[in-house]
Amino acid sequence: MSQEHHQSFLTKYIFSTDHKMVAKQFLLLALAMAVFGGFYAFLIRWELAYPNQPAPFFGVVTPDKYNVIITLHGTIMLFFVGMPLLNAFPSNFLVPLMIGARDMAFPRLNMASFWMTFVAAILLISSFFVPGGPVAGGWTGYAPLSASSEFTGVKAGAVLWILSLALIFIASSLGGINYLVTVVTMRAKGMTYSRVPLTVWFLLAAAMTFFLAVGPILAGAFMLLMDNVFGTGFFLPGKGGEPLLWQHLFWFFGHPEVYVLFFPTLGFVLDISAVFARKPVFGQKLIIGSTVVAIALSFIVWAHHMFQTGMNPTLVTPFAITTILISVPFAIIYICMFLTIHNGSISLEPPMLWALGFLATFLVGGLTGIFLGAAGADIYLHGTYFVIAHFHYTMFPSVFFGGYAAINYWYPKMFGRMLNKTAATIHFVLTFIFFNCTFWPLFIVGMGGMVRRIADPSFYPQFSPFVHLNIFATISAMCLIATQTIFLWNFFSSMKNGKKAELNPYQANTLEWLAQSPPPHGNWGPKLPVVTSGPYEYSEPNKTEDWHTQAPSYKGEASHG
Amino acid sequence: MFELFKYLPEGISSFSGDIDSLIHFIYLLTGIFFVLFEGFLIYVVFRFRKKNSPKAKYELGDKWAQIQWVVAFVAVVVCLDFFIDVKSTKVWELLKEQVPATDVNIKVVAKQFDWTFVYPDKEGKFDSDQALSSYRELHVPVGKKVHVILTSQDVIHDFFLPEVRLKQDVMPGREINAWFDTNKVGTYHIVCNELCGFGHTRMLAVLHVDDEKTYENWKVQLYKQLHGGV
Amino acid sequence: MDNVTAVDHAEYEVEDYTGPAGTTAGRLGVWILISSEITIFAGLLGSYILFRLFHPEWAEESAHLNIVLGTVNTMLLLTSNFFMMKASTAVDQGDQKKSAKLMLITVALGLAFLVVKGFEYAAEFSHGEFPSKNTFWSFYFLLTGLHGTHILGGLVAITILWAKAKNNALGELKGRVALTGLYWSFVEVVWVFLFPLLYLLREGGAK
Repeated sequence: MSQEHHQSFLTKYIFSTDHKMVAKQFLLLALAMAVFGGFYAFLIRWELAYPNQPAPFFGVVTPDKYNVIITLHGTIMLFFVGMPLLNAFPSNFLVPLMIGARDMAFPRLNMASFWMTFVAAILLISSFFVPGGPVAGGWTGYAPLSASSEFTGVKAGAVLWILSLALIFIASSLGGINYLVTVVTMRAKGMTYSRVPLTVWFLLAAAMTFFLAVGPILAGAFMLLMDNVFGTGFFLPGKGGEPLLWQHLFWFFGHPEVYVLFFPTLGFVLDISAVFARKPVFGQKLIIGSTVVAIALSFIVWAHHMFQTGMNPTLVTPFAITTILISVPFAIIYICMFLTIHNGSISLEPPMLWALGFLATFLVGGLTGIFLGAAGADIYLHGTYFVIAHFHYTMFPSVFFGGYAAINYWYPKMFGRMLNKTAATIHFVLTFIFFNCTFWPLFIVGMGGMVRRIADPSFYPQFSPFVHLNIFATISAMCLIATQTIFLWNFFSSMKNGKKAELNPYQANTLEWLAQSPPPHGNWGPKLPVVTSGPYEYSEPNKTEDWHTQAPSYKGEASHG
Repeated sequence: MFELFKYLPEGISSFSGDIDSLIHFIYLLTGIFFVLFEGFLIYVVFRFRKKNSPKAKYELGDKWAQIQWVVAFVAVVVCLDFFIDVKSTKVWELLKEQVPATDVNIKVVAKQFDWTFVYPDKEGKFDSDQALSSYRELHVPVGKKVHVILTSQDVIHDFFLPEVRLKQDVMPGREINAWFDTNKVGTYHIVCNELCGFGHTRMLAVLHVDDEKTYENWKVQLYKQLHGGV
Repeated sequence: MDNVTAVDHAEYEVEDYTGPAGTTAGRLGVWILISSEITIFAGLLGSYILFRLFHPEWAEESAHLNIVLGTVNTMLLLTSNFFMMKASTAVDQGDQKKSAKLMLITVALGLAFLVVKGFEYAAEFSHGEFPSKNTFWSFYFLLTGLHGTHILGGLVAITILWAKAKNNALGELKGRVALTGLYWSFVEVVWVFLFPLLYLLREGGAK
C-alpha cells in the first residue's frame, strides 16, 4: 500500500499532498510566523515601558512604526499563528488518523490551502518593502482610517494587507471544506458520530464556524480593496459611505473567529484530560449540544464590540442579552471539563500540564469578559488595557496553551520520538508564570484608565503612577518570549535525539495511536481499522486494563508481511 | 490582585459612582467564581493525583443524576448574569439612551490629531462669528449638565473622559450626542481612545471643571482673544 | 444531498486511499463551497440593500443601467445553464461526445455573457460612470465584477472538462461534470438576485 518509494524530495516535502506533511508544513509556518509576532510583542512592550529609548535589535519605536507593529502583531498572531496552529495543523494531522482514513477527501485542495496560506504570509511580510510601509490601521482595520491612504500615508501596504487576509481566509475556508467532507464521507467502519473523538468534533465546529462567518468579512475586504485601489467610498462618509458598515462586517466575522481559535483547544484539552485522568469525558453529548448552541449564538453577539461606536443605543440591550446567553453553553463545557478530571487518576505529564494551565488561565479571560459585556461597565473599560489583558487571557491560553498541549501530546506520533520531559515541564512552568506576570498587571493598568494603542505613554502624566507595573509587565513579557526558546530547542532537537516513541505511549484509546509513529503514507496497514467502541472507555469497572482501543481487531502493518 | 482599583481615577460625575459600583459588583461576583474555580482546580489536581487516587471513577455524565448539578449551577450563573445586566442597563440608559435637558451645549470637533471645542453664540448657533472655539481645552461649569455634540472631520476618534467615566466614539459623517456632568472643580483629562493615525498618541486635551464665575470669565477672555476686545 | 445522508453511520468501506469516495465527497464539498459563497454574496447584497433603503435617490442611477443588455444576459445565462444540465445528463448516459458539444454551447453562451458585460462596462465608462462615481456604482461594479470572476472560473472548469470529454477521456473526472453544473447553477442564481436588485429597482419602476 505504501507509495513512499515513488516520491521525490519535491513531492514528499514541498508539494506534498500527504495530510501529515501538509500538517507539518502548517505547523512550521505557524512557528515561523510566531517568531515575527513575538518580536513585535517585544517591541510593543518595550515602547510601553521605555518610551523613546532604542529597542534592542530594532531602534526607536516611533509612533508611526508603533502603529505598524501593533497592526502586524494582531494580524500575525490571529491569522498566521492561531489559525495554522489550531485549525490547519491539527485538522490535517489528526482528522484522517482519528477517524481511520488514509488521507483527506481532497488531498490536492489541502496542498493548495497550504500554499495559499504561505503566499498570504509572503504578501504580508513583503509590505515592509513597499513605499509607505505596511498597514498601520490596527488589526481591526477600522475604516475610514484603513480605507484611504490620505489618513495614514500607507497605500500599497494596505492593499497587500487586504489581499493577504483575503487569501488566507479563502485558503482556510477551502481547508475547512476539506475537513468537513473528510469526516462525513471517510470515517472507518464503525466510526459512528458518537464515537468520533471530541478533538475532531471541535475541529469541525471551528471549520464550520469559520466558513459560515467568513463571507461577510470577505465582502468587506473586497469593498475595502475597492476603496483603496479604485477610490470608491464604501466606508468613506465624504463619498456617501458608512464607516460603521465595516465594523459590522468585521465583528460579524470577528466574534465567531474568536471561537474558531478557541474550539480546537477545547477538543485538545478534553481529549488530553481524559487520557491523563484515565476517565471518560464527562457529559460528551452535553458538550456537543452546547457547542452547537454556542456556534448559533456566536453569530448574533457581534455588536458587543461596538457598544461605544454610536450605533443605535437601544440595540445595545438585545446584544448584551445574547452576550450573556452565550456564557451558558461555555459555562456547561467548562464545568464538564472540570468534572472530567474530578475523581480521576491524574498524571501530570506535560500535555496534561498545558491542559490544566489552560483551565486555570482561560477562566480569567472568561470572567473578565463579563465586565466588558456589561454595556454600562464597558463605557469606562472599552479600549483600555483592561480589554488587552482580557483578550490576551483568552487568546494566549487558547492559541499557545492549547497549541503546546497538542504539540506535546501528539509529538510522538508526528515524529516517532518523545520530547524531553524535563525541558517540556520547565517550559510549561516558566510560560505559565511569565504569562500571568505579563498580563495580570495590565488589568490594573487598564482600570487606571490607560488606553490601548498609544505609542508613547510618557506623554500621559496620568499614567506615571503605574509606570512600574508597565515595566514589570515588559520584563515578564521578555522572559516569556525568552522561555519559548526552550520549546524550540526541545522541538527540533528531539526530532533527532529524542527517545524512540512507542506506538501508544499514553495508553490512549483513539485510533491515531494504532498507526505507526510516524504513520506512513496511507496511514494504515492493508486493512483499515474497524471501530467497535467509543473514544473514552477509560477505567471501566470490572476490567483489568484501564483502557481499551477503539479498534481492537486492527493488526497494523504486522499482517502486511 | 486586590489592588485592581488602586489607580482607578476619582470619579467626578453624577453617574461615575453608578459605573464604579457596577464594576465593583461584577468584580465581587467574578472574584467569588474565580476563587471557587481555581480552588476547585487546585483541590482536584492534588486530591486526584495518581498517587492519591490510583483508580479513576467511571463517570460518563450522561445521567440526569450526574448532570443536574451542572444544570443547577448554570442556572445560578444565568441568574447572576441577568442581575448584572439589569444593573448595567440602568447605567446605560441613564447615560447613553437619550440626552436629558442640559444647561450647556458644546460642539466637539475631532480631526487628526486635534480636539476643538465650539461654544455657541447667544442664539445657540455654532456656525456664527460669535461662537467661540477653544483649542484642546474644554471648560465646563461645575454641577451643570453638559450636552456634547461630537463630530469628526476625517476618521473615527473616541472622546474619553476617564474621570467623568464617559466614552463615546466620534464618527465622521454624523453627529453623535452625548452628555455628562461634573461635581468637582479641577483639571482633568481628555483622551482619544480610537486609533486614528500616526499622531494618535498625541491627541489629548484638557478638561477644566470651573466654578460658575471662573467659567464665565474664561469665556469672556476667550472672546477677547478671538475678537480682540468687546 | 440524499447521497450525503446515505453514508451516515459509516455503513460503507473506503479502501481506496487516493481520494474522495466517489462523487459523494465532491458533491458535499461543492455544496459547502456554495454555502460559503452564499455568505459572501449575502454580505455584499445585505450591505447594498441597507444602503439602498437609506438612498432612494439611487433609483436614478439605476436607470442608467442598460436594461436590454441586462435582460439579454439573463437569458444567456439561463440558457447556458440548461445546456450544462443536458451535458451532465449526457455524461450520465455515457455519451461523452454529446456532452462535449453541449458544454461547448455552455461555454459559448457564458463567453457571450462576459462580452455583453464588457460592452456594458465600456458604455458606462464612456459616460463617466466609474466605480468611484458614487456608492451605487461602487456596488454595481463590485457585485457584477465579483460575479463575472465566478463566471470566468466556471468557464475555465467547463473548458477543461470539454477538452477531456471531446476525446472521450473524462475517465475519473466524469463526476465533475455534474459538480461543475451545480456550481454553474449557483452562479446563475446569484445573477438572478443581482439583476432585479441592480437593474430593475429603478426610477419609474421596471420598464
